[in-house]
Amino acid sequence: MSPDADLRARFDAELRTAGLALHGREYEVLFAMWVEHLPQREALRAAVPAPGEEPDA
Amino acid sequence: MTADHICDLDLRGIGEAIHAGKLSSVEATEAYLRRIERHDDVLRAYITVMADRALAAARVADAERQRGTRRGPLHGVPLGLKDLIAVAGVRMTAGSRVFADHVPDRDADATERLHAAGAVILGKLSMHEFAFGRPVTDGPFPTGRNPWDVRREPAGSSSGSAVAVAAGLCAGALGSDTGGSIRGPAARCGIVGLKPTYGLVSRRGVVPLSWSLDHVGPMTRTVPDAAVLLQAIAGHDPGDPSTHDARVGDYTAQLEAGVRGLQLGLLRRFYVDFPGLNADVKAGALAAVDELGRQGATIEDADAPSLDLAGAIWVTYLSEVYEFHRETLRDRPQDYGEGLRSRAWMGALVTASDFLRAQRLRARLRREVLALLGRVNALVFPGQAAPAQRFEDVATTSVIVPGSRYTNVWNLLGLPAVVVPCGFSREGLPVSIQIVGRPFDEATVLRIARAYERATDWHTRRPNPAKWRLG
Repeated sequence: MSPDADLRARFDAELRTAGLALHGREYEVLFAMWVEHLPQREALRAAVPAPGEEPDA
Repeated sequence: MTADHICDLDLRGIGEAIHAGKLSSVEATEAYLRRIERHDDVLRAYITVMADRALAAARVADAERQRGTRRGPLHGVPLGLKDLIAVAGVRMTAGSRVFADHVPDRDADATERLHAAGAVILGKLSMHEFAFGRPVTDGPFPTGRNPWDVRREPAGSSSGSAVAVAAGLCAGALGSDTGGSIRGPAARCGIVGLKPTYGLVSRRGVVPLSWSLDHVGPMTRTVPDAAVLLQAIAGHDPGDPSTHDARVGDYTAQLEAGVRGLQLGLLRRFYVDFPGLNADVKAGALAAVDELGRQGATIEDADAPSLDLAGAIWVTYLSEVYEFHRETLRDRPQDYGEGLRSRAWMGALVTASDFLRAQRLRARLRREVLALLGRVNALVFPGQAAPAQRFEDVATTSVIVPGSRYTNVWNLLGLPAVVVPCGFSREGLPVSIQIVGRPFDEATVLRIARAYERATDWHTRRPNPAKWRLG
């Protein structure tokens, strides 16, 4: 699977999970935003808090 | 006093002239209304001008003054409100077709407080759609134009508030700030913008964008004006539980006390050394820090490692935006602009565990920054990444707002943050410095800002109305 196809497969899976059915330009714009935001999400998931770190109030 | 002279005054100048009997509230209101009529076709600061109501309120203010009553420094002073702050009986659009016919039946808490202070509400100011859309030049709710160069956007989302204050279309305004929506436009329009501590100013009657990040605050020509306006709107409101512990200070008592003896932390690594920082903004901000040092403040470099995670933590914002809009997005997606619609959908893709991870890291960031603020009185850094952009250069389909690192951290932490003009770029566009303080210590933040302001004349510069033409 090409990198783009892999990304689109992941994106499509997330859309289904979220219950969103988008097509055409709506789909492409959101896909571009999702790709743009991936580094932030990866940084979030890589920053593992210590067990004692509770969520902000 | 001519109409142009009136509109060149700052908020306190208007209030003092009314108090001294040199100017009536009706004269001031009429001067602004004439200026709006003359220039707002180009500047687009207003969505709704409340001329009749404003003149009626001005007549009441004048009658009270003639009876010897002065409610305070805002008595009879004409102000504008971002069009997501409710005025009972006046259409409130939030800059969106979704709210095109929405007329609230009750004032927001901030509006009530301004009325109680004797202020005159001139109208409702333009904004990015639901404070999260992108600048637009057409449609029913176009973005205001920057008075320093009308080909450029004023930034957002409180764009109309910044444009109106900078252009003298009101004496002061309220905006809201979820990721920089007061400070961004204030910085790019050359005015003062204050995001108060979270929980100091009620959000009741204000259309939400993100409940845990939204702040209402003043946008003015000077620091003392911001202090006066904040004093009027701050305080506990039973209608907004986040204000339960609001600690209201005296924002003018120490305003002229200077900075001698204060410790300031310069966030050099994260902000000054950021490669995306415009050279003119950097030069202006560093010169402003030097000026504060000359006045007796101690400057030291400061840092918090988790600042690097602020952009990642920002997913909390996307989740909250989506939650507010999800049913309307499902039922009426066509009523949203594309910029907002797609960005709001991004929130649907944030998982619950990502949200909680962000909240855990947000707590870590808070601990680190509050530890810094235990050592210094305030943090200083450039107020923006770059001066105002041309409309055509703004990315309309990006989920990350360029330069938002300079502002959104301080929404995540709810700390008081003010931007103050500190010069102009080589293209003649305003640049600013930002000062962030301890929770509910707006008095110190404003005192530092004022110390810098009074040593300079940036706040006295005005954009040229002769250039407010298109084509």
